[in-house]
Amino acid sequence: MLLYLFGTVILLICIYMVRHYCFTINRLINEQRHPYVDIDTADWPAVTVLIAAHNEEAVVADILRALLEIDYPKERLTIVPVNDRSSDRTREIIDSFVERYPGRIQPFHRVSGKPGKAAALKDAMAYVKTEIMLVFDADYVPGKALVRQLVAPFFDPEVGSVMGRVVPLNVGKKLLTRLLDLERSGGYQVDQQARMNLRFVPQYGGTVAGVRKSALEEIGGWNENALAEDTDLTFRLLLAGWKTVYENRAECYEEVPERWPVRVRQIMRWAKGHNQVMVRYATSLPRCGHVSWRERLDGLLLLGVYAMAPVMLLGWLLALLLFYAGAPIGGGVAVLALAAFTTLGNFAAFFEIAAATRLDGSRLRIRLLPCTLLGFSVSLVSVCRATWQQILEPFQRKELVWHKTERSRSEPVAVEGRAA
Amino acid sequence: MTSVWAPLALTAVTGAMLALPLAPALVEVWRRKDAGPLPVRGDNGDIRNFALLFRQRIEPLQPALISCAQSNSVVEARLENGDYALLIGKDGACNLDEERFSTLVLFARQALLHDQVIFEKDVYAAAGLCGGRNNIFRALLGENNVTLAEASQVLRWIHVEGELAVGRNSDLGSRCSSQKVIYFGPGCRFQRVHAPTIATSNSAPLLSTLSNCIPPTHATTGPNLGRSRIHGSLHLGSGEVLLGNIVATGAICIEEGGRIHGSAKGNGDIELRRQTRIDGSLISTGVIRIGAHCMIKGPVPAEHEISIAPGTRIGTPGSPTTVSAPRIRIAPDCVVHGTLWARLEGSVGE
Repeated sequence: MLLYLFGTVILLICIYMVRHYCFTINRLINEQRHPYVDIDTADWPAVTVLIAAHNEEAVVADILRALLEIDYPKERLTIVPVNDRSSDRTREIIDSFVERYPGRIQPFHRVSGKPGKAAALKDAMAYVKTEIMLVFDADYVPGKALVRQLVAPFFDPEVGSVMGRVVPLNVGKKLLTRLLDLERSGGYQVDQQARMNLRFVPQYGGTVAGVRKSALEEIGGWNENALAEDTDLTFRLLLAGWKTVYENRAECYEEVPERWPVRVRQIMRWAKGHNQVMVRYATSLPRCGHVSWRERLDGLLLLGVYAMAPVMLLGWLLALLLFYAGAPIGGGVAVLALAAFTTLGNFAAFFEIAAATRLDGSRLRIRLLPCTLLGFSVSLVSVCRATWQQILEPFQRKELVWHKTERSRSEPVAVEGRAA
Repeated sequence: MTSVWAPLALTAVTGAMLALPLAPALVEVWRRKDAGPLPVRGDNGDIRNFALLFRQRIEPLQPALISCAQSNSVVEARLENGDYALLIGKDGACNLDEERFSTLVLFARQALLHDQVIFEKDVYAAAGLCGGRNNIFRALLGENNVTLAEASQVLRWIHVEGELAVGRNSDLGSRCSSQKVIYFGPGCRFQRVHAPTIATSNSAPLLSTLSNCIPPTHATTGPNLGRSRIHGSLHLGSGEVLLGNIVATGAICIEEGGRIHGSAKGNGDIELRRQTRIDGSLISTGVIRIGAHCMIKGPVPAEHEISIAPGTRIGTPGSPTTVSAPRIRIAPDCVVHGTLWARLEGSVGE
């Protein structure tokens, strides 16, 4: 029995290992798909930019400043900071911008209601009068061309949502920020772009992202009960026949957590949210006839990424147990060892990270690759803990709690980008 | 003694063997040589960026250029960074001996170039410029109208504030832009082109008929238009009209005179026969073949190739748009308002 369970674990690990290799090799060798990147001239549609802000006094001014300088027809760009029940100076800062730039910013000060980004965005929909809306978290700093880059794919009537690339800004602060920088590189530069290349399911990430309002309405709007409203939206759009597009060149700076406890809370929230979505759609996706087989397969594997952390832990425990029980598990241990070497981490495989640093042209940060073992270990334990809590929650009758990611920025951001 | 040192030595050697692979990581953690954020795009993507930078660079030479024009002379000047520039104040044909200029060249007045002249550095034309055959420019900024003669080559970029006429069989570098209009002769090759009007013809009268081509309706996928999803290929018969945005999981074929009041996306090749009309965008994951005398209002991106037959018009003066694909083949007598962007190869038919 235990041997069969061990075999199943090994099979699952092998599937994910092959998936990681396919993505990385595709990204390194195959032709890259950027079908909308060259749309630089158009009759640009009206756009609403929603900025999700909950106690963001440290960062909200930077994003407002950046959006006011964005290269997009001013009369077609509405900026809506969604101040979600902030108890710090967020409201004051937003109002000072509204005063200084009359007619450019329409603030939404939410003072009550359900906590969480999805609930806040749901309430903010009353302010969205345009067909296209973009969503940013308050710690992001968009470049001048970013709005146009994110809007361009919406000329395609099949596109329901768009995702840009997230690039950490506070990289040099701590070892953690450097590890997260590597992880983000692997996740976006390789993982997301490979899914785009292979016509799989690029993931809507909830920030540096855009949504078509009619598509959102068609699928029933924001799901305020979802902890990971982004992943939830990705799958609901997919099931309704809409595509999510990843724009690797629509890059935007973000602030990554600088403290391990903050990171642990973040990854636990992601894991719980993602697992929620897995439970919700894992059975309906394979039966969805109008979604292509490759999207169904990739979608299923995407749904399972956070579940793989406990599966991997279980595999190691079983390996130990079976070894001391004298079971023949030599091959299984070899696969576990190979998986440990190549695909550790639930979504930040070593091989992907190495390929991403090469693609990004950064030469020395690749040396930190062995250190990602630390990040992986923390993620593994956090995800397992989150999964365990999630399993127990129905019995404990606890409500899911929204943990906001703490910001560390202390000075305004002045970003200089590279030339075209 | 041996019993004490042996385990210590073994521990030390084992520790060193374990630590050795981590040494580069530890050095990087300590020295932080590559700890900055990755560079992201900060510019606005304007095609004219190189031209604007060049104009800024030669700004200090403007007084000298003006006096050169007044004295009808040719002088050599130096930029702050030490680069030499040849300032030519003569009007009309340049009776210069050189066939190859290795410095920046700044024309102060209307210039007429001889055939086979090569400019190894950037060229600035304060007034009009009329090139000779087989001229080769590294880069060219024209403040007025510019005409490139047959088989000219621009290696990097060209930007013209006035009208740009490109002679047959010319080869333009990566960026070509005009603030007014670009005329391409037959056999020209291009990559990224931008102008309010791009016409693949040398005959100016072509443009006079443009205003009545497409009424000024809103271009993009309209908010109130519904979306239909077709499983398989879509075939729209001759003269048939479809209202709304359409997505086909297969190919799309629209027969002569067909019309879509909205956008169309084909997950396969798209073929538009003669005189079809699309009021929104036209998007394909494969090849788009646009027949003669078609009209398309919105962006036209294809993942493989676009071919455009004579008489087709894309975009309008009030609603410029983009045509993009790795390969674009455009016939003479076509007009595009906005951007033509062929990543690999763009060519004008004979």
